[in-house]
Amino acid sequence: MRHEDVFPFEGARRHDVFFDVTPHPDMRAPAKWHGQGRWRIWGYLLPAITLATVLLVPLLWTVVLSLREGGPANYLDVMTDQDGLEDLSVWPPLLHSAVWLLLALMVCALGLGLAWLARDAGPRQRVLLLSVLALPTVTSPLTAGVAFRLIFDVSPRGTVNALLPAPVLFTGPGWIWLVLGSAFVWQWTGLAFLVFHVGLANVPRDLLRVGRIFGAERIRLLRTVVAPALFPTAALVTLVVLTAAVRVFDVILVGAPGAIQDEVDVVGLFWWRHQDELGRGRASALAVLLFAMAAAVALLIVWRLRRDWPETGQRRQEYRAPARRRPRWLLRGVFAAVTPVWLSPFVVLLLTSFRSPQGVATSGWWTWQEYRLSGSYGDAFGDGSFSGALWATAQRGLLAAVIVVLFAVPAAYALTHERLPLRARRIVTSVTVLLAVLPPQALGGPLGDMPDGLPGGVVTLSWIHAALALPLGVLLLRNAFASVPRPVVLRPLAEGRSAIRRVTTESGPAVVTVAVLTFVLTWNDLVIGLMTNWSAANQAPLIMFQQSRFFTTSAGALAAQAVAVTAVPALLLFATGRWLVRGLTQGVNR
Amino acid sequence: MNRRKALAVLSGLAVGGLTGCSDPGSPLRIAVVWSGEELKRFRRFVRDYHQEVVVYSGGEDIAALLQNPAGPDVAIIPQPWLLDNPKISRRIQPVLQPVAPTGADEWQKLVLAAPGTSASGTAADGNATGPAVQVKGVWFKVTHKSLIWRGPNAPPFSAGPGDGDPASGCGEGALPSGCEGGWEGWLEHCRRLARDGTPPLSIAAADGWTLTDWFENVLLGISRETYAGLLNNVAGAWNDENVEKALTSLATLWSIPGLVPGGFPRALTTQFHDSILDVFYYRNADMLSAPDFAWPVIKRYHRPPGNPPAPKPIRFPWPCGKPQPPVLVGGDVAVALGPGRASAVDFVKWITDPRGGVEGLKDWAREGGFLSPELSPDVYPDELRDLAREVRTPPAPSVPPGAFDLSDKLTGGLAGGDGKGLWRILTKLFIEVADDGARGSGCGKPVAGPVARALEHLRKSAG
Repeated sequence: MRHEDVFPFEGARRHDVFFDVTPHPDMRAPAKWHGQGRWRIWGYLLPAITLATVLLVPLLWTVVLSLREGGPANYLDVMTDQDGLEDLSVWPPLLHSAVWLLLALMVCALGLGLAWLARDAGPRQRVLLLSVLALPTVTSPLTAGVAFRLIFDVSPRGTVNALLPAPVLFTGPGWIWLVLGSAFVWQWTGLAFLVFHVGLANVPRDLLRVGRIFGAERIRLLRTVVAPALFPTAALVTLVVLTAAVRVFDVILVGAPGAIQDEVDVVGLFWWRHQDELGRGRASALAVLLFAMAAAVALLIVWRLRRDWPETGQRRQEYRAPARRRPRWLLRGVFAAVTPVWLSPFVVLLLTSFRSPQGVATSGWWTWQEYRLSGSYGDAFGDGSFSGALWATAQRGLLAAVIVVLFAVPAAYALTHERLPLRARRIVTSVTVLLAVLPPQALGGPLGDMPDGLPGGVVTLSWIHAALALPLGVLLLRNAFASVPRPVVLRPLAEGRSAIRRVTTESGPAVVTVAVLTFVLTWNDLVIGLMTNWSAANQAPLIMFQQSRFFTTSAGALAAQAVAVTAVPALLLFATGRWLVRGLTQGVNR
Repeated sequence: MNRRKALAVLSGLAVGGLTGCSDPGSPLRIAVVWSGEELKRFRRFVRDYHQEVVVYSGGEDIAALLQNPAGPDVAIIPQPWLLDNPKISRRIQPVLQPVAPTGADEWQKLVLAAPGTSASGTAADGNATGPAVQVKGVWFKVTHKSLIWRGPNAPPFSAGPGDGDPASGCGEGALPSGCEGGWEGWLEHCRRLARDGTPPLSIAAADGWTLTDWFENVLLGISRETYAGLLNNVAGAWNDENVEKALTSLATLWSIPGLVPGGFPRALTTQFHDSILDVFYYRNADMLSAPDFAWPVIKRYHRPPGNPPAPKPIRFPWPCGKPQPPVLVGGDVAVALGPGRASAVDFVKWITDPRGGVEGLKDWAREGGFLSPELSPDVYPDELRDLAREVRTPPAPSVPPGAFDLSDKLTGGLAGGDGKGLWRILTKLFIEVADDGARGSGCGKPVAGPVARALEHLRKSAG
């Protein structure tokens, strides 16, 4: 039995995890078609480029605004204390954003640690661990905020407070970082775990063996073999988690009480709150700076990645010696610790949702008297408005997913199997990477005041969501397409036909992954909804956000709604999990 | 080809779901600011309307929402001044009302259309009889914000002349006689309760608007003129000495050691509803300053359930020697927005039509938590009847005049919202003067420094 059958990770190569973000030429040189002129290539790229203008035009307009009213001095203005009252000082939020970035690095380290501890887990354990850890990643930050606020609520409602001898004010000043930080760690560790898990499985074992035989020290082996092999993986996962950290927004809005929020303000939130006082020029300048921050993080990693990228050899089936027996208690310990901790927010949400709204407001989930069959679901769904919003949100997600797949497939094909000039390819790929980390705030100003009310309705909003998810889709598909074996595409290309259909069919898992990712991102979105205001008011996360104003008395309904909002991506995750893992790591159907 | 089939199904689904949205006979879209129970209650109210209605909560962003030309057909907004915003005012469809809202109170006239707008045609309504008047919108709901609610265990205190036992030594000497029921007497009352070990108040400092209500009530009690100056944006109004006086009074109250359960750290995490639970469910505080719409929450959560929970709310205390108590009023105006949808105007008229929505309003009023300027005070629960009298149009004679909520008017650097403007300034003041929950003693922190800082902040932010 090939071990790929046991678990799909085994066959994944070390550097095709996620997507190949480097603008370097692919040395494996997928088969290219050398037929008609280059018009056809641009024909493939055109839909994606058109869709990208949905991002590029508002982005450029933000840049123009930042320079027009007040000139380049806006950038200096926004960085310096305006009124001497620290009210409009961007430094505390900047500092907080830096803390989030540090936290992102810690998440990566935690993911690596867990992956290391679980490296010889059996296939069943792996799937279990992976499911438990990955589920929070598809949960909306809003849900995470609700769950962690419930867990860290004041006594007598909060779970943690019930376990402590003396009550602690978690959502108060200082402690709030613990609440929001653990929500972030909970959400993203799974992704880091998944990616490092694949990375560790692909450390060249023969090299390690040789090193051991020749008596190399452990540290040296780590430095010379393990670290270089892990680097591309580490860079990619760091990129994704750092981008998430730059975009932190909703978890603060719902997780922290209003008066505490400026203590944990981040740049994106500061921009959203203060855009009126800052004025158009300075608000736009701040949005551009936020984008620059995200872009700098992305480019730094991509640049490092490009320099350290190892050889891109042929895929080979590596012989794997049976792992040395390591003590099982360690692995069991990891399971015993991680599984309950990672599941507990879901458990708390689920239990809370089955209690009466009054019960939720006045006691913790361990008070059994308040459990009802209908729980808080009557409160949450009673007047039909939330189910209507769920449907509207689903429509938006579905439409966005369809659009992204239809537009990203030709673009990715043009980037891999068509003859695109090297320079053009580099430019397109770099722009794609930059757009992939674009914070929505950079578009917020122009989108918020579209003159003819364009961002209204499900359709327009779906296009905006699709445009935001498109770059990630192109990058994922591009990597999958590049992995399609040559023989598959040689024939159609030799006959002068396009191989796009074959390539797409071969890359089924990656296509499914892109569709699911787009749907989940759109489904969970709150930021775009808030920024385009009216049109988004029938979006499920927005309705939940409005309710969080009276957190205590609507906690029951919020929990019920969070369960419903989480159920959809969770079911999607379990239904497509096999494809997702393959789509994220390998991309192709073999 | 499974994938293609799946895609076809998906796109079919998506497109199928969309066709309903561009239908010309689409439902009337109403934007409100409420959430939670109030939003639910409003949805129940509009169910009686003959046309299909979609209600959206815009929350704090309602202003931005109204400026969007593709925005809602009807908006119910708590900031009547938004109606003068040029971007919004050109979208307003005036409504013809049979009776002008001509109370003595300035706030009631905020909805009157400027003279000359009557010519703009959309609202012309052949059915209106008698001397009709053009209004920009209709008061849908008003709020009485000058109230103190006392929990079941709270010792009696009645604002106005009453009994008192000023003995703490923290005030400015002995109270003049007859002042026991005034602000000064109340301070002593709170000090005494705090010293005896029960926090006298629960303050929802997590919600900045409750702090602005505190400030406005205190200022309104000290000087109506100063308050009016701030409300009408008179230049230099924030430099008036009464502003400083009000901040000092407020800071003096907030600085009482043991005033709120858990001190300021806990208060900062206490939201409006939490403070109601504090007083009526957990009973770890005696009193609460909260608007009339606290009533349904009190009714729902008070312990033990069943019995009528609370005595009537008392007036927010005002300083000794001032003739009139503060009556702080908030309110939501229903506005028809254009262009073009006549049904929007119809809906706004329907709200106050005796053959239309008024019955629904009465039902809501009976449940409590909803005051309407349109209804007779008789429909309200006992506890709220007197309040309803004070916010009617036209008000009953001999009722103290109401003043509209200042924080709903402020713009620019003082505009409210989490972590900004007046909300933030008052939150900071609260943090600086209130105790940290480790039960302090004595007369509390000095307030002069924090008040001076708050004042400087206010003046700079006001520009």
